[in-house]
Amino acid sequence: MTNKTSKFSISFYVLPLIALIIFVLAWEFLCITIPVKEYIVPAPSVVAKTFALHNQSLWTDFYITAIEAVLGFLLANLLSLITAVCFTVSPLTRRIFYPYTVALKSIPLIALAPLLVLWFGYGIVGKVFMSAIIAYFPLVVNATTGLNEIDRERLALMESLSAGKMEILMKLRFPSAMPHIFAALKISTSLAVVGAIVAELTGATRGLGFTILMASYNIDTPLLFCAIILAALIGITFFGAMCLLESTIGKKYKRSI
Amino acid sequence: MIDANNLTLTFSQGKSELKVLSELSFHAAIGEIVSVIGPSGCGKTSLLNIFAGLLTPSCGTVKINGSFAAKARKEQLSSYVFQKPVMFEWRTLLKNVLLPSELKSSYLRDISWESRADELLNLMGMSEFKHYYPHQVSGGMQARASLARAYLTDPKVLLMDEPFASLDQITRDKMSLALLDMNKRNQATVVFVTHSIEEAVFISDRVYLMSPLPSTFELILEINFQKERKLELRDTSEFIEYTRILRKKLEGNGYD
Repeated sequence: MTNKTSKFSISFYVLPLIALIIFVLAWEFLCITIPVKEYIVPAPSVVAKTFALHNQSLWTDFYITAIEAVLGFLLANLLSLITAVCFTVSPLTRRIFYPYTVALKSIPLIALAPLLVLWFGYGIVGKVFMSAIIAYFPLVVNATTGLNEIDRERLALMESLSAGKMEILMKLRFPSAMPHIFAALKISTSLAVVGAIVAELTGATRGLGFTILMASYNIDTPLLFCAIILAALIGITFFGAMCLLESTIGKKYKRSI
Repeated sequence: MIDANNLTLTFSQGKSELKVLSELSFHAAIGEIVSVIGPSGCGKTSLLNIFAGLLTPSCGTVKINGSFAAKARKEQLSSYVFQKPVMFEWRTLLKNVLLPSELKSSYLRDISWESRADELLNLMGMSEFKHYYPHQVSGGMQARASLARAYLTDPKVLLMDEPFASLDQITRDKMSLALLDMNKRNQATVVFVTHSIEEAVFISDRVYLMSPLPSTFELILEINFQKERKLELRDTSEFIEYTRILRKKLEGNGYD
């Protein structure tokens, strides 16, 4: 059993890592053999040198963007859980507002970014809101679906036990909705990062989005690459953290029928 | 104890009315196991839902140990067992059995729930499986857990809606024996809805046979065996005679 799992993790982590190393080496090799201008595609070694040069400011940007994304994510999903519970407890509320929720979901909300700069200025608040707006919708829709797709027999059991609405919500609806909720949270992590960076691109004084914008103005492509890699790192870490949470807390809620 | 008098149930849909139950009276004492048998769609489940206080009859009264049905349910005097085990897959079997104790209807009762759950699971012969999740055990085990869950609150009335119908014959026989044993110790009034004549005769003190709609009780058969209820009983002539009487009556109604 242990042998099998270790074998599994080797193929899970090591093989993709080897592929990445080969990719980077090939990229470096191509940059040496084909004379590509540095501002079009910089070689990995150039990117690494630039990173070392801007080490401190890049990590500061990283933390700012990460904090915006995490705060936006938390705000968004707290609100969407509340919304989903309201939709579940009160069918009337759901009938009135649910169509708008679905409609809003299909609007490119990124278009709101300049408005948020206008309202909240260049600080962190507007970025958190932008991140929250985009990260809000997956969970609303998924949690509403999950909380309402209840096995009829289980509901009948709870009713036969004289369970109240709140008891049904906490003991049956939430546990049943967990797979739906985690699926949405995972999607929401990357959206939160997108929201924060888009807001920074629109108007900011710090953060990865700001650095990306500045680097593109200055045609500093190696710096641009550094910022993009860090942005990817936030997204991956965040997604990974959510997967970890799912595999610990969420595991027993997985449907195993 | 169940006392039901002149129960009539009518479903109305627009202008048309469907009379499901027609002036049924039903009595069962403490510790008795009573089966209800009849053609499909004759209102057996509706009758159970009335006893559980989940459905209000158009006419007539139901008393569970002297209380009205809905009140009895809220006070945990009655308990329901469904056709499927209805386990929550995120809870271990023990936690599933403990579910009724976590609801507000249990808050005022001074019972050490954990030890009661342990005792019931022990009786069901599954104490070593109590920390397993439902998907890790067989359907028969889940059915046992659901029976233990129903007995947890020490109900005076146990309402069972074809509880063993989804099990194979061997497991089903074991469950019948488990039910007889459980009820000897816990002394509830059991109302057992089933499609199986053999099952009904084997476990019951009395069998109520329902007619097609609008349903009445066509036959009330008292069942007394000299011997203890073991599986061999089904090969005796008196057992076969009881099943013959019921089958004849049911076939006369086009039983499917």
